[in-house]
Amino acid sequence: MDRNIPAMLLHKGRLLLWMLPLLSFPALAETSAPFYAYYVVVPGVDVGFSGGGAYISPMARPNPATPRLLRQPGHQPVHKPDRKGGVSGQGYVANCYSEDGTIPDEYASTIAGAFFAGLSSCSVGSSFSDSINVSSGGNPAGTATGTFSGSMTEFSFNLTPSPEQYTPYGEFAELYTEYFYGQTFDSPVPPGSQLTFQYTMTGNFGGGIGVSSDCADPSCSAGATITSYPATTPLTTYTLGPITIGPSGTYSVSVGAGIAINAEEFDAYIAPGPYVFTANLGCAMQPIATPSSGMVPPLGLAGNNWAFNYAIGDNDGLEVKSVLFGNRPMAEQMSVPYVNINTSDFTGTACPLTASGDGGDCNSNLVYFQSGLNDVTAIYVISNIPSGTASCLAVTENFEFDAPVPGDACEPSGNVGCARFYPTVGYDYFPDSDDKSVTEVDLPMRIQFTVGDPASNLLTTNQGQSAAVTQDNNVTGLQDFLLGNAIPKEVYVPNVINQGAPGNYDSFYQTYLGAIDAQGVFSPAPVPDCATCAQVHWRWPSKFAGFPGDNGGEPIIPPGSNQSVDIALVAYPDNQMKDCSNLASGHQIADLPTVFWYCGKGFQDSDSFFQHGGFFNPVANTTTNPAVAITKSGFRINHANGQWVQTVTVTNDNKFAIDGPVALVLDTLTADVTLANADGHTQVQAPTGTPYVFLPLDNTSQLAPGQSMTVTLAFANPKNSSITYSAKVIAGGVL
Amino acid sequence: MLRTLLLCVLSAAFLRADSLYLVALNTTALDGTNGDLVVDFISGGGPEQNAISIAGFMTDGTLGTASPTGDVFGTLPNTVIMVTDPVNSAFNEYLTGITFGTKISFFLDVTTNAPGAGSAPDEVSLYLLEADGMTPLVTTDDPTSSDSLFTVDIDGSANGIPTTYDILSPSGVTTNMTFIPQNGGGNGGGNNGGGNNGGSPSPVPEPAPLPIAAGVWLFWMYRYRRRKV
Repeated sequence: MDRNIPAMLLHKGRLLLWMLPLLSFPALAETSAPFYAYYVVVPGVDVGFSGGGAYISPMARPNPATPRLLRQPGHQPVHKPDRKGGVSGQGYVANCYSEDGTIPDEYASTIAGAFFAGLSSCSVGSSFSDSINVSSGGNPAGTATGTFSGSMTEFSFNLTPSPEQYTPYGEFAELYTEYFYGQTFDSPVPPGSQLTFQYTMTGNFGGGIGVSSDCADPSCSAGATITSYPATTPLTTYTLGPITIGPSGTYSVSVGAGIAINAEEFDAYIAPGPYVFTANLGCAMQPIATPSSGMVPPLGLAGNNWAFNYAIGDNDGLEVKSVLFGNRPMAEQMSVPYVNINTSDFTGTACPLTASGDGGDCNSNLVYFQSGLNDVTAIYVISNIPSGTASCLAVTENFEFDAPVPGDACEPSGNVGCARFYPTVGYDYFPDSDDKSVTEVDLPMRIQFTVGDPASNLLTTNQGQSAAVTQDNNVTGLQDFLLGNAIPKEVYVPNVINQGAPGNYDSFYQTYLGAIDAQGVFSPAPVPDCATCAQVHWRWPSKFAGFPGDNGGEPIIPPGSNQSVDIALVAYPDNQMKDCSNLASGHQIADLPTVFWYCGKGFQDSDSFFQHGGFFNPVANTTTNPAVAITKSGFRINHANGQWVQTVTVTNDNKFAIDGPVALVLDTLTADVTLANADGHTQVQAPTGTPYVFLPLDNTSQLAPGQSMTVTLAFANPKNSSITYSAKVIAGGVL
Repeated sequence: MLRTLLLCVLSAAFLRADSLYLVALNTTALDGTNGDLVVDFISGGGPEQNAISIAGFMTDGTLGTASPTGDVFGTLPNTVIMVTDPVNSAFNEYLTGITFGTKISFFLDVTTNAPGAGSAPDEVSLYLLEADGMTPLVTTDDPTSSDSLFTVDIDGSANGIPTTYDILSPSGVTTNMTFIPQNGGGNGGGNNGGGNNGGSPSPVPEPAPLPIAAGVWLFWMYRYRRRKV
């Protein structure tokens, strides 16, 4: 690392507080996804400093006030990014985030700087929250810990160096760090027109925001910075503009914060951490035109057979409709019908998420929309909370549908074929002064599950459904259907997550069958759990510590969140504007179409809901790679057609039944040989293109414990080659 | 020459153990019908090899021209030996024209080398086809619809897995397959099949079957010597 750091930057004492020239970030040519990049370098004794010594601050000083808007991490979807980039090593870490993991050309020269340590690719994500923990090594080690997080609505920097004492070597370690964000937006006004932006910032060192468009006039760019070290700049509103929009019809927003510390010569100016900086961007996001309805087609991403339609609703924000995986329907609609906003100076009940507000209280505007290959995102900004203030609430909806991942364990047995989905919604409250805060924000997610019978391909709002909620025992792992299986009447269950702690219920199931086909038995080992269901688990019992979805028996919510969640299950059609607690009226719902409400309640200035997501078995069955015995007969010839034929017998060696259909998959089949009677070829399971046949089971039948079932395989083998293949069974997994 | 030598070497591996079956067919319903008698011996993928011997062949029908494919040695009614070779000869077939009489019998001796992990067993199967070599003369309950009369899967067990299928049509055709215990590895001589055929089949110039493993060895040695000459 030492060889990568320019000597001029390492010269002790050159830099104390240093901030990037924020306004010089390149403007992207067209509307772009957000880009974030950061590095943290703690060179320390072992990485090339004369005399060495890990040291940050020479003497203890009172901690500066920490800006109160610094948010708990985690309002970003926890399942992202799906590909992690970044570099790290002793004394340094560097990472960036972009839409596809590449570094945009506009930033290539910046990222090529030595402090980015050769970073060549980014993590994938439109938002992130990274924990920083860098150690220089040595004795004692210099360290820097904290959190960098970013989204289109907020930029947050929090870093604490350590130790804060002289080292035995009498020298000091340095800290170098930089974090920036850039994004280009379409302008809602034509070239030559002007826009004004209002941001808030707070922090105790250097940072700033810039906005620019592609024209040379001074009115085409503006910026604001804070350099308040060692004091803290209180939450302050900065107005940028009016900014003249250039010929491209776009404008770019850049935010940056950076610091370089050498305590040896400037120790009088060194304060202990944390060094913090927050820029609130949400209230400045500009309204956009309502996008047209559209659809995300199946196999837009290789192996991802989810498909859905989307639309911007009149009052209920982003609507996702007709969600299917392959031919199997899962949900008719997902949306957020309203927002309740309660702050220290405002109470707004059932605020609608409209694309273009009327200018009154709870003035909602759509400020961002993007449809991807497997997700769709919308950001609404609600202003006038209350009227006459600059406070706003940004609501981010992201509906993401992920391809099944071979080997993914969606439930403890790991044997339920599954594709995950994440209908997440979050909020960020941006007050215009430090003395305002959220009392409670309610964001109900309304999901009209229509879990399809794969045999009938039904997709109708009148399709009968059965649902249940379970309480999962931490010790035994057993599930109790305390409200019945299936739930017979409309129910409202408050506080299934209670102030961040477990409530009385832990999961929701819905199926097209008459009841949930969960076996509810987890001893001595987990067994496949309701293969026919769409499932939502906000907590797994601690019995399954180590299971990938496990959170130590705690609700799966953002770190630091104290949120609560109510749920309701009501008959369809329902009153979408009713408060969650008033939805259930006791109507019979067994075997009727229903609506599931997941009503998040946040009590902090920022929170998000449904990050645990849910999962769905595309083929409606249970087991991928179940414990089965596969017995092959020898080959013989069907002389009538010349095909090689054999029988293969599958015996269920489990102690539980395997739900049909069950596929026998032939991996690594001899070249030049084809399975003539294949029922299909895998599109998801690796290796894709592998032929398979179904056992003679339909989706309503099972392979009982100990039961055997035989299929005949017919091969076209024009060269009369020796036929070999590796056989496996997938029951209910995605093929 | 090299191939023959190879087969000789391989034969030594076959000497470990074998299973002997007496196969008897009642073909009265096909009496006078021209067709094909087909024995297939197909590799399941190896890597082990196996061999079979058809010996003591007797019939009151009339054999026609033989069309062997693969590693097939000999001609009925003399002893026929077939060897699986997953690399060079996975498919081995002895097809002979025949005007069916009322009965066919022979001894089938099968080595018992187990398939490798994941491979299918080597399999012997028997068919009665029309003279086109494709259309079954008999329909059986073979689940693969290939209308085999019987199969033996060489799974490594002492006797393999013999399966005789019921003949669905024409009625009157039957298959009997009898396992004949042997007294020790490959030395169970004296399995005189002639008396088991019943009736009065036309005698064919075939001795009682030799112990098959030894027979395989001797056959290959014979071929080796003959080719050298």
